[in-house]
Amino acid sequence: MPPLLSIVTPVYDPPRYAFEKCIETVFAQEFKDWEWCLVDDCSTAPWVKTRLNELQALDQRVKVYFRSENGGIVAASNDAISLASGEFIVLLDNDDELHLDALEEVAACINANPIVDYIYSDEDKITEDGKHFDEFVKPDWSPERFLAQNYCSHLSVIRTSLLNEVGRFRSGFDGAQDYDLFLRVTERTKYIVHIPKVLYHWRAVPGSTATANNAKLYAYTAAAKAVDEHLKRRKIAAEVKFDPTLSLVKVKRQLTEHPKVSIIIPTCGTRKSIFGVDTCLVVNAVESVERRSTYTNFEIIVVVDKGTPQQVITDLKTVCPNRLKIIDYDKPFNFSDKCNIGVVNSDAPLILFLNDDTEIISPDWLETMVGHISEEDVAMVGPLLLYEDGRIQSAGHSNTHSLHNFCAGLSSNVFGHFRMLKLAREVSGVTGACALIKRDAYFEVGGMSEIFPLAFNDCDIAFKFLEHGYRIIWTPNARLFHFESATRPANVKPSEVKLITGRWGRKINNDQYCKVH
Amino acid sequence: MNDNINASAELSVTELSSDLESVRSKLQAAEQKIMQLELALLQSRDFSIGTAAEIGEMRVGHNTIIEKLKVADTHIKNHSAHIKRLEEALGESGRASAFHAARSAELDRVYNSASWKIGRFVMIPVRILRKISS
Repeated sequence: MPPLLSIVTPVYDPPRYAFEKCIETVFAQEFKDWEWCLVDDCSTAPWVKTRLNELQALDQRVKVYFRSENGGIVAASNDAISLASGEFIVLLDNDDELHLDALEEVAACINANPIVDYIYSDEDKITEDGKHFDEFVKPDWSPERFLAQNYCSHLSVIRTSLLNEVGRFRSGFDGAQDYDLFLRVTERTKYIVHIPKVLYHWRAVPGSTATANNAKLYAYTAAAKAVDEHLKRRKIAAEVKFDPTLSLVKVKRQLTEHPKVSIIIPTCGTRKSIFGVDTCLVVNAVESVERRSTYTNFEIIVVVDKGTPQQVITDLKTVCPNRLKIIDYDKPFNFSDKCNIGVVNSDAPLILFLNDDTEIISPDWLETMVGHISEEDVAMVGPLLLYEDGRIQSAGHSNTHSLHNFCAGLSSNVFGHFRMLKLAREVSGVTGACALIKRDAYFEVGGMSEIFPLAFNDCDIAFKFLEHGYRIIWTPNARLFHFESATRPANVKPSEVKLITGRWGRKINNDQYCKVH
Repeated sequence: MNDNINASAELSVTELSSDLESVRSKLQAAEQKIMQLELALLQSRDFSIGTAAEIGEMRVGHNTIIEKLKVADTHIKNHSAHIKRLEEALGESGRASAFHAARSAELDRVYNSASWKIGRFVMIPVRILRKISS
């Protein structure tokens, strides 16, 4: 039995050509079990009323209501919802277009996921003369990213009962009333499905938010307010601001607790020229942690290979006299085993793996990462890692096509697809060069796998976390240098590829947070 | 008297120190044991989770093969049906061919018969007249 889909459209003086295109795409839908609830918010153009009456006379699936006074988009949308009798509400603006298969895809999605509460699809923009551009390839449900931007936006389909339960649209959020609604809806359900197809074409008319992100600054102020209230309802202490440069909401979590962090650094005391100076990597890393970190509740556990020069140990004790633990490692090299030994020698609830060829840039790197991991279902957090020359070394992992560091080699000024390099978001993994992990979660999944002594141990543990239902967060707000490949060869052996594929082949090239069309 | 008390106290302190040392070393050994057990726990869990993942991977591979087999089965069925149709058509064609041969032989017999030849001879003037008139 196909669900009845109620398309809800508030109407207020739309451009006539755009409204006609909108009508055309609704009537051309392959799926026929729909009704269209249109509410005219006292349009000043006389043709609007005539056209709406024509539509109502043309097809009994069209329901029209004329408001007696202009109440704004929230009031008009809520009136339109009142007309709806369908199981799901489909939100459509009066100047946008639906893809011809949009409702068919939505119905198929509902049939495949009968308990779904909220569905969103990919979208693109369309010019006045019908040219498509700016295709937005969205991730699957990514709640952390959703705090920074309303990436779900169009097409959005919400179960009517849930929409009524959360109180429909609210006034006071003009320009971001849909963002506020989606935040309240997604707080109440985990049954959220993404359709990875462009089902909605957002009309870019001058002055609309589709045309320019700063065309409606008031909308972003409202967006920040919506996120702020959302976090308050979830009892997450955070400072919420709108960043006009990036057109993103910035959320900085405020720590109510400062749990101890054990920073585990495996090393063999390698030296390398950094910024033109011959440097002992591990001493440099420990010194930067000690000097630059504003977070104070941490210990440093350095796991040293046999044969590490004594001078390195002496220097480490000099730069970090009070909270340093040295653990000797006298087995053949196995990065995973070294990490595990570091973990069993620590007692902190949070573990941070740090390569010896790193250097802290952001003083609040630990606060930022601890803030993310304090959420119950987050197991792993990674920062933005930069090469010595400032280019990106890792912005989290991507499994699209193959396992790799996302955007490696790009300038750190690049925004990425829909600014994804400038916001904290869910990822399918982060590099083990710097990863904060919950101790309990680490033990739950069996830690780092010793069958991966060199490569893919971080990918493997990330997959284990995802398999256990945890989220992994990458944040650009904690930044470190990673002078990569100074301590180990970067070449990956075919046997290692075979091993990781043998465990997780189904997840490779199937990245839920980093999709391509 | 005081000397005895002092000597006894020193003895107690020495004994306590020795006990403390012994407890410390036992504690250290226990801690080492705990660490070894924790490492073993990590390895066991990784093994079980890794094996489950490998089984999952095999299941995916198995399902893929089953799907491929289903497709292959459909292909085979389609081919078999096609072959059957071809065989039937071939049989039909053979039968038609035999029918045609029989009719040809019958016609040949008719053409070679004396009555046909006499008939043709008798009809010569009629054919000539028909040609002239056309």
